[in-house]
Amino acid sequence: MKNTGILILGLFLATVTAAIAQDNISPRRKQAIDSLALEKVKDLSKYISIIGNKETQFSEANRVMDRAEELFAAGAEMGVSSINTQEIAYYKVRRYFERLMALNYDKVNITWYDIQYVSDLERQPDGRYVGVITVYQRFEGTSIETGMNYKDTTKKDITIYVEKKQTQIAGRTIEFWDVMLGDIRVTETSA
Amino acid sequence: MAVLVLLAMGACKSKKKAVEPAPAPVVKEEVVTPAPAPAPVVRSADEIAVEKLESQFSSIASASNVTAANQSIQEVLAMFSNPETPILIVIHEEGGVKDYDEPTSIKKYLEYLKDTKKNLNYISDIRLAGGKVTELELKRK
Repeated sequence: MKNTGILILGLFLATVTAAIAQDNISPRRKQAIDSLALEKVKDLSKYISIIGNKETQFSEANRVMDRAEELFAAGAEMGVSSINTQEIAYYKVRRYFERLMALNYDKVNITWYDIQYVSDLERQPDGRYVGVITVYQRFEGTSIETGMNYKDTTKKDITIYVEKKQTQIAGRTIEFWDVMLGDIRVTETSA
Repeated sequence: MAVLVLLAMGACKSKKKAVEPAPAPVVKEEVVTPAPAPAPVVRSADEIAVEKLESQFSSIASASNVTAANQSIQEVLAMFSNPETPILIVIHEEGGVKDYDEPTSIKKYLEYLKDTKKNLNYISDIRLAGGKVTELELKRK
């Protein structure tokens, strides 16, 4: 009876120790994960720029839309605003990309800048890391025929989810950090 | 008497032994053996492949147009056993434990280089079979 109690206590302590060890990610390791997530947001900015560019071939734009969509968690939405209205519309990301590609301008230029964390990745009880990255977006659309020229600057917040996942590669189990982008919400819009 | 003296002087040979003429110096011909040519550096197939891939990755990321990038992409794909060859990317290594980004395929990775124009990684491990790349591991620079 006494030995059983000691065994149970030992197993409990071993479990707790393992859990604590998993929580204690070294600062350099955490920094690598932070950088990984930040790079995914920068990748998205490149994809959006390619999709919106009227010089991008249709097949290339579709391929890039696939890559961009893979960055997002299921059901994620993108906020869209305008200086001409107070309303902010939210679209499923694929729908947003399709609308972006179909914009009725002769030239579209979209640039993201000042991409940085406003809320560091924090470990949640379920083991995922969640944080928020903010971006400034400069949009310029030009129509040669109508002479219409639209410009705005938007500030957007992107929720970031990071969790450890496993996959099989050549018969080996590989653990990797899966970065998923959540909703992108508009916080400011200006000319 | 004087004549006798002169004759004696003339007949007086040096007691020194006649010095035999110095032998002609022997010209020793130095045979200069040319230094052996340095052995040619023999690089392994892995090293050659790594060098070529690193160069192509850089070319794709810095290509001035999509056509040039696509051409380099096709050249790289020809080095692989198939376009879905998995690519592992190490974002951090500590205490023997590697942290990976989500694994991708060589085709997707090359398109990533083209789209983002970022070449953040170097080749840390490569496996070849039959002259084709079957595995590739990259690591953050």
